[in-house]
Formats: sequence, C-alpha cells, structure tokens
Amino acid sequence: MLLDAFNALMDIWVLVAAIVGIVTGIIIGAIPGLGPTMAIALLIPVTFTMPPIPAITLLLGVYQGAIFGGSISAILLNVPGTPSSAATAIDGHAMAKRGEGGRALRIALYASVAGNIFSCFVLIVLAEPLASMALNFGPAEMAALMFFALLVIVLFGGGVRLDAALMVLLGVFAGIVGLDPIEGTPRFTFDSFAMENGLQLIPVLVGLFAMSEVFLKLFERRSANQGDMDIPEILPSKVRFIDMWRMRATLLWSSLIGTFVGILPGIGSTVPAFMSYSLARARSKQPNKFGEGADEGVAAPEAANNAVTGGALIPTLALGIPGDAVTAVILGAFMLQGLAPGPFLFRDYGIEVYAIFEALILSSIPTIIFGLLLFKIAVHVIRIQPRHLFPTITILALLGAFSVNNSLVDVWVMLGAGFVGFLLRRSGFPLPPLLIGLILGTPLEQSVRQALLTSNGNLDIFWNSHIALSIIALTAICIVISVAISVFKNKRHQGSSDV
Amino acid sequence: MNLSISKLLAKSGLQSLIFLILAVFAGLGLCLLDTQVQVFSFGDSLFDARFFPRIVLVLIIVIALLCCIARTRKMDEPIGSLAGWARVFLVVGMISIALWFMPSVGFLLSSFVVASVTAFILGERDIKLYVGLPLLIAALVTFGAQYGLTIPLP
Repeated sequence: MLLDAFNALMDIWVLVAAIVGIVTGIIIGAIPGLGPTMAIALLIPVTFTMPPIPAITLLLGVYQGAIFGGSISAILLNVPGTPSSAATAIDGHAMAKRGEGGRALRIALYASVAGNIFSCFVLIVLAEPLASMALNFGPAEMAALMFFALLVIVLFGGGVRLDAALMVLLGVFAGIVGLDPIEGTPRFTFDSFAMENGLQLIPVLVGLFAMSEVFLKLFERRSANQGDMDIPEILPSKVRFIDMWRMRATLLWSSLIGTFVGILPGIGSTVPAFMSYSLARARSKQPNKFGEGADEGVAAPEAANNAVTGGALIPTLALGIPGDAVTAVILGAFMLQGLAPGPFLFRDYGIEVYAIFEALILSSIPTIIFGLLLFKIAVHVIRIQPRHLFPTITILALLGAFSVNNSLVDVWVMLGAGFVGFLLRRSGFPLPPLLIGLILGTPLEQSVRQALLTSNGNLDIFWNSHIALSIIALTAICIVISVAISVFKNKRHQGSSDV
Repeated sequence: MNLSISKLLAKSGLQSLIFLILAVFAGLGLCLLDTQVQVFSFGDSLFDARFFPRIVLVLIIVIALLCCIARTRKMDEPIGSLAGWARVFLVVGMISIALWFMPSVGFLLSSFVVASVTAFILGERDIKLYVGLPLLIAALVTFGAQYGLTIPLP
C-alpha cells in the first residue's frame, strides 16, 4: 500500500501543488489576523478541478506553511500571525530584539519540520487501526463517540464552558436545517427548495472565518499604518545540525505533546504550544534564560504546534471527527473531493490517503527550502495594509461561496454566516465549537435516532455494548477531570488573592 | 429591586444581547416546530424528525439563560462605537445589494463595487488604490475562475 501510494505521488502536479501551498501558506500565515483556517477555506475553490492527491496536498501545504508563517510575525514583531505562535513570540522576539531574528526563525523552521514529521509517522501508524476498529461501530457506539467528542470540546477547549456549550448547540441546530437524515422531511426550510440541501459547510466556513474577519477589521478600523511597525534588524546567523541535535529531547517531548493533544477534539494548537514551552523550561538546566531568548523557548512551541497537524488528522480521517477548526476545513475539502472521512476512507481510498500522508512528510523538504528563502520576503508582506488586503478577501469569499454549487443561495448563506461570526467573535465566543457542532450534528442525530429506533426506545442499547459503555465511562472521567481542574484552579486563585 | 435591575442593565452588553437573541430564536423555533417539521406517522414513533430539534432548542434556551445568570457577576463586552457598527452595516448592505443585482450585472462588476466600497470604508483615499486595485483583482479573479477553474460565474 505504501509503495503504491508513493507511486501515486510521482506526478509533477503534486510537487507543484505542495510548493504553491507552502509558499501561499508562509505568506498568508505571516500576515497577522489571517490564519491557516481562512487561507484553506478561501483556497478550496481552486482545488475543485484538481485530482484528490494534489488538491489535498496543496491545502495541507498551506496549513504547514501558515503555521511557520505565523511565527515570522510573532518573532519579528511580537504579533503572532496565528494564536498558536503566541508562545513562540516570548523567546523569539527577545532573540529578534538582539539581532538574532534570523537564528530564531531558522530554529522555528527546523523545529516545525521535526514536529510535523513526527506527527505524520504517528498518523500513519494510528489512523488505519483506529478506522478498522471503527468499522465495528454501530449507531449506539457512533452516537456515544460523537457525544464524547462534543463534550471534550466544551470541557477542554478553553474559555467559558457554557459559552462553548452554547456554540456547539448553535452549530448542531444549524446542521438540522434541511432534510431530515432519516425520514427525508424538510426542517426549518421555510418552504424554500434551495434550503432543502441545508447550510453547506464551505459557505458557512468562508463566512465564519474569512468574511467575519473583514467585518471585524471594518469595525476596528485604525488609522495607523502597519508599515510603521518597527522590524528589528536581522543579523546574519547560522543554525547547525548539532544545535538542533542538542535540543532533541525537547523536540521529542514537544512533538509528543503536540501529537497527542492534537488527537483530542477542539483543543487546537495553542494549548500544546504553551504546554511544551512550560515543560521545556521545567526540564532546562538554565530556566532563567527562558523569556530572554532561549533557543529551546522557540523550538518547543514550534515543534508542538506543528505536531498538532498529524495528531488532529487522526480522528478527522479515521472517525470523521475533526480535531480543530483547521481540520474541520480540511475535512470539508476531503468531502468535496469525494473522499468522505470516516471508517470506510482507508478501505475505499487507501492509496490516495497514504499518498497524502507521504506527501505531508515529503513536503518538509520544500518547507525548509522555501521557509529559508521566504522569511526575508515575508517581512515585507507583514507591511501590507488591511485596506488593500481585505477587499481582496471579500472578492475571494464571494467566489468561494458561489463556486461550491454555482449558486447565489450559498453566497447569501456565506454573508449571513459572516455576520453571525462577526457578532460572536466580537462578543468573545469561540467559533471552533460551532463549526464542529455543525459537522457532527447531523451524524450524531442520525446515530442517536437509529440506535433508539432499533431498540424501540430502550436505552439498554448504550449499556449493552462494551464499546459504547467504555466511551460513556471515558466521558464521565473527562467530566470528573474537568471539574477537578476547575476546583484546583479556583483554590489556587483564592490562595494567590489571599497572599 | 430597581437598583439591582439597573445594575444588571449597566453590566449588560453584547454578550447578554446575544444570549437573549438566541433564547428568543430558540423559543420561536420551538413554537414553529410543528409547522416547520412535518411528520408522517406510520406507526407512532417518539423519535421522529422533531425529536432531536426539540432537545437542541430546549438546551439552547436553558444554556442561554444559564449564561445570562452567570454573566450577572461580570462586566459584558461593550456594544462598541456607533461608527464601527455603521461601517459594518454599510458593507453588509452593499454586499446584499450587489448580490441582488449580481445575476443581471455579473460577478465582475458586483465584486468590484463591493471591494471598492470596502477599501474606501477601510480608509483608502487614493483613487488608484480604491478603484484601480479592486478592479484589477476582481478582473483577475473573475477571468481566472471562468477560464482557469471553469466556474460559470454570473
């Protein structure tokens, strides 16, 4: 299978797609406010006419490139291009201020690649066995699993849990609009034939992540030019193999944290980046150097936030449960290419999926080459003014929404989702739970109803299955852990306020 | 009593408004459930097409109210400047008009107008950059989509 997949990669268009994706990702990721989620959502229409392997390689290249691109503005300007680069900014910017911006960026690049390669190997090892196991899942098991995924997002996704729960429910309700998955009757379509297809994923994604950013920028319009930002001088520097080898334990621990936290739905890459940073500081012989420009302070969060890529793809591809907002967008791209993520993906499209995994590993080579070539150019990209950039994003958002079904209804949906996204982001509500609720809502309803219909409404169907029972037990454990963490935090907070 | 209500109103802002809107819409959804979701009863089933929406809508109401109660201890996000809201509504209105006329005037002209207005509202005052640049990008995107990606744009 791996060899067949490698043969499928021997196509010049796969290489072109990887390079275009990485370069686009680095440039977009470097611009503060434009994350990988928006970049991938806007580029999906470009992949419509492409075969699946180059199409997904391009989008994953954007993801890889954007995560590194995010560290460019974090290191040079102390303005993280992506939220996950915030940890990188702590030591990276301290290095940049003393002229070592080039060294910090090289360390970030090599650590990113190390994290990515590690997580891809874990992805290759774990995804198929997980998918094979899921082939034995019936409706009760799937319902328990999806409920678990949604609950984990609420409990551990960060932020206020009630807000996250409300967003999940809003997403689930948005998924209800359209035809009922079992009886086929229209629901909340208000007699509109066009709405019977429901709210399509891509227009909603483009609205939530691209259009809402335009509205936010309009709302917060500032007169100051981004070009006025002071970029520290980049002195010539080198990072040798031995420098990275000295950090091997940090890179390994950070990659492990990134990969395994990435597997959990809804947590994203910011939490593992800070976890790895804290662990690297705790393990360091010179912890006082952290915060003042330590090499490991840059390497640890970068390895972790890139390792999340492979980790988050494991439940996305094997079970159809996205790990975060970016993998939710990638899941949408897989579906548009006819590769429906879930237990049957590896059975029906094994060669394509393994080719994509291998492309993800091999694209580390162009990532290093173009990362080194582009970081000096990306410095100028940071200076692009929002008033020049956001009109372009608006045009691309209109095109992206229209191109899914060649329908203006989808553009209206995108506009509505954009305004709702703006309102929610302006109020501080998290959007990833809404998106994952939208994706998992319909399969959750289908599984719950199928399970209850086959058992004539008897809840024993959940208790009689060992798998479902294990997942329910795991859900209960997560609730207990979450409550314990809250109690511990409250006690610590009270303790510190007493002092 | 009056004092506590006025304190609550003083703390209220955008989040409280959103909780309220969600609760009201979920309530409306529950009222409209019977008319908006048809059920053909071939043998009475509790788990029909209304089963899941009903649970979700009730949960939205309950959690929105819980959020409202939890927020009373904290200060809300302020609604923000009127000028900011006016800029957003202006662009939303402009996009709506452009979408309305898109089938007759085409994607190129509609997207150019939207982008140009967005650039102007974002503070661009150089005519080359708020007319020329959006026109160039709209043309590139339109022709690229039509001839490169074979998307049949209006």
